[in-house]
Amino acid sequence: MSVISKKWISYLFILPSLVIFAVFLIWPGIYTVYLSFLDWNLISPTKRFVGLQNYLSLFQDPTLYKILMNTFVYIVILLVINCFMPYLLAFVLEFVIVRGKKLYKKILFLPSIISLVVGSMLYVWILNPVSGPIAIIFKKIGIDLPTWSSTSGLVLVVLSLITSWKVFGYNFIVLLAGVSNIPSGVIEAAKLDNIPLHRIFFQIVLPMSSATGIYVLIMTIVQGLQYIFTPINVVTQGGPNYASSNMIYHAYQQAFVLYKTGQSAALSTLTLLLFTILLFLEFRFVERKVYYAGK
Amino acid sequence: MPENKMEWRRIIWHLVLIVFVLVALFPIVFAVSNSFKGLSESYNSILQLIPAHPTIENYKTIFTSLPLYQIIINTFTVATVVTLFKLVTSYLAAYAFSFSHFFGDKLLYFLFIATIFVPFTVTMIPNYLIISRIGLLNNIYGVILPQLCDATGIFLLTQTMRTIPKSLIEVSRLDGVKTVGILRDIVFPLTRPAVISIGIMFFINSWNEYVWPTLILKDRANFTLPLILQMFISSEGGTNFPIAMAISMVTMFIPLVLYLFFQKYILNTFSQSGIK
Amino acid sequence: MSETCIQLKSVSKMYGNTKVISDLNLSVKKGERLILLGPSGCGKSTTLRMIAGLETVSSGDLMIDGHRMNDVPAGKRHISMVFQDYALYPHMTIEKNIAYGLMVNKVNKEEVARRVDQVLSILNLKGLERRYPRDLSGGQRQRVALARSIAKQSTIFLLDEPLSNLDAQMRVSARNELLKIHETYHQTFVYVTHDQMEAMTLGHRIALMRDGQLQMLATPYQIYHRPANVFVAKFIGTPATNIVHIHLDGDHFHFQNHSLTAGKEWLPLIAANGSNEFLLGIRPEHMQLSKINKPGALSGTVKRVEEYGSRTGVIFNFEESEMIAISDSRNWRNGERIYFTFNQKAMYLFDKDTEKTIGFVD
Repeated sequence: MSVISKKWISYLFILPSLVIFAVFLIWPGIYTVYLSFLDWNLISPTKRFVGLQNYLSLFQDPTLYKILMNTFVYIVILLVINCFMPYLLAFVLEFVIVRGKKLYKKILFLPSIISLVVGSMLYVWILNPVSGPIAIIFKKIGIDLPTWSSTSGLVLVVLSLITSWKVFGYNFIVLLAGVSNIPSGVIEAAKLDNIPLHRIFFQIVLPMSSATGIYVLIMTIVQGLQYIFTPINVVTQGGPNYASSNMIYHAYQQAFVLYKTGQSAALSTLTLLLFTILLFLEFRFVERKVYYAGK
Repeated sequence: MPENKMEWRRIIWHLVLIVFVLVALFPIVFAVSNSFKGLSESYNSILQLIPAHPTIENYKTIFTSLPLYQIIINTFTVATVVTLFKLVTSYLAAYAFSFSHFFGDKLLYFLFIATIFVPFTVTMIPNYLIISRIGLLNNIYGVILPQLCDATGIFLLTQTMRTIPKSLIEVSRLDGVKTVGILRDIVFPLTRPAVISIGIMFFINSWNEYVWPTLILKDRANFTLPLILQMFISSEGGTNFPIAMAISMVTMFIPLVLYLFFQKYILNTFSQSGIK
Repeated sequence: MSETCIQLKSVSKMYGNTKVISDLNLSVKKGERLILLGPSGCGKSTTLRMIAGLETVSSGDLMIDGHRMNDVPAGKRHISMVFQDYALYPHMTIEKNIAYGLMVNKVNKEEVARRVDQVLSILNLKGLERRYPRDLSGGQRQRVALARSIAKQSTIFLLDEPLSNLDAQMRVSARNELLKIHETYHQTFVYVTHDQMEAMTLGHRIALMRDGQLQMLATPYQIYHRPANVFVAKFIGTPATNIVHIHLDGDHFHFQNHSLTAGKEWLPLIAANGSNEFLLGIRPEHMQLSKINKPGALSGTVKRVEEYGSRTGVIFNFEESEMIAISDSRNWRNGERIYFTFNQKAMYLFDKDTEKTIGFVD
């Protein structure tokens, strides 16, 4: 049923968005793929067609594998902190604690409205291994904080934590809404049957709120990797020796620090491909199995 | 006995949540506290949250030594233009997607939503070239343009509009109300809370935008707040810790005020954004 | 009441490749109350929405007052419609809800005020002008929806299941309200419902639809007593008409094991039909039950008894089929053998293949 009487009005209404997206997203997207087959440095007037050379040299560079590994580690940490934990806490808040829901929601959402540059800077100070408050407290009990920003592995964890500070709250309120959409009768019946809480969580709550859960899962991966750009750029610039870089940051660095436009474009194309596969998997295998509350 | 056990479980989970609350809030409290301390006090008593000798020297310094007014105006301009533009374009598109059927509507909607998942690196080089070609490098309008491309508004507004019963639109059509009238008199009043909260989120996100401005803006006078703040993390200003806290406070201020005033709207709208 | 107001000439409606209305011919007289009745998905609402202009007509002609309306937009058809969910604007007061459409159509202010005042008093809504729909009860909201439609003063009134969200008691009074309104203004009513009781009490004529096809268009009396086909016979009346397969041999109706002498009055109709296979329809209220066998009675076994308060429904097995009869007596037990008779003048005979009636005898 169409409630707009004239069809051209619909097209007219979509037109502004369409123009913006064509100019700043579709065309650039295509152009990036095109650039990935060229040898160029962003400035020089000549571009040379090199076929798959950019992709080959990308794959020959050991840095790529380091960065892929970092990306993977980032994803795992982000998922644990920003998907699993808020899921669990949303469940606990909805069905165990019950009271104080609003207040927790308000406070935990707060950081997500603050600039991640602010977050990064504050945590750089708070976690400063020599003069930060955490370091001072730890020193009093005899523990020295490691210089995390130059320790491989640890730097990934700390940058993920900083990003999580911002991302957690949004995911939390979305998951809380998803969890509270589950008819309370179902949970009450399970409680009456003396089903332990962890089983209620894994066997009832997770499947019954999976539509929301998957949305948050995908958003955590896709947006989390982009958000992490900020603490990387602000705190480590990808160092030490690419130990904190990810695919997004590496593509940026290749393009605007090293001026290797072709390789950056090739990496971006790969990232896009990866995200597309992820999205495709979501629609193909998960969407149809999920339980939609209220349907 | 089970009642007692439930009570204990509750207390333990409250404690867990309180740890999360502390992690969320501590940095903000930390920033407030140290922005009112003098340089030496901040170093000597970093753990003391209430300054012994509160001072507004840091704020005075940043407003005199940096083009901070200009920077705030820049940030404000960018956020306002981006917000208004995105609201209008998303609103119109969402209206079309919610209340009409036309050739390719479902596919087009799907494609719009799918763009939310496109990482910015995919478009950054060509967009940089576009901005540079039209001469907007080092100009806040160069920061604004690519930010207009955002489908989250279309997504959220379409979801909101779809909750409006179709019969309301139909009854007004039977009365001969034109599309503009339906938009102004019926759909807009009913979606106002969502428009407000989405607008605020647009504003806050644009206010905080960091990646794109770092590529485009070169001179301090053209900076936005996150960029000027970034300077104080790197070695340049890295040692002047209370000053950095004061700039953090300035950057946080507007989003915090907006959140305090509109939290009910914002929480409601965004809670529902993951539920299809 | 003879002038034609709305006419559908072989109207069809397609959604993609699915035909939801096929070849519908229907005309509504001026001032008539026509009911579109049928099970859900039969196309009755779609038909109403095509008349309103909320759906396009895929093929055929829609005429209103002799003009072809297929391409006239909804807003120019001067039609009022009451929706199932009432479609009240939640952000406008009752007064504003009624006045909004009028103001858009540039009715002058004094006139708007006059009409609002008038419809509010007709529908007993005085004092609620400044309230919002959320402050009103279901019945009040329904009346506001009616008031808004009346205020428009259009001659055609479309109602899409307007009472289905009310409780049973409210429905009866709302029905009387509707009749009162019609008596006052004599609009042409086209009324969609799935409730046969509503259809019977409100309609001058009923158009019974199934799967996008018109099954029968007739007065409530005819639709009950002269069902055009098996579907109509089963749809109208509660409990539903019993349908049993019979075979005619000579002047006898044969069931599986039973047989019955055919009433003489049926023989000419049967002869005219040609075939000897029929579906027999008997209304539960036209059957007489007994515990004692009589000549010409058929027998069955009681399966279940339903209490209706004033009467009793007796469900019994007759040969392979299950039948229901309505009895004044309460004295029936499960498993008990019973005998039933019926007046052949009140029964229906349908051709087995076409399921259409072969005619009526009374």
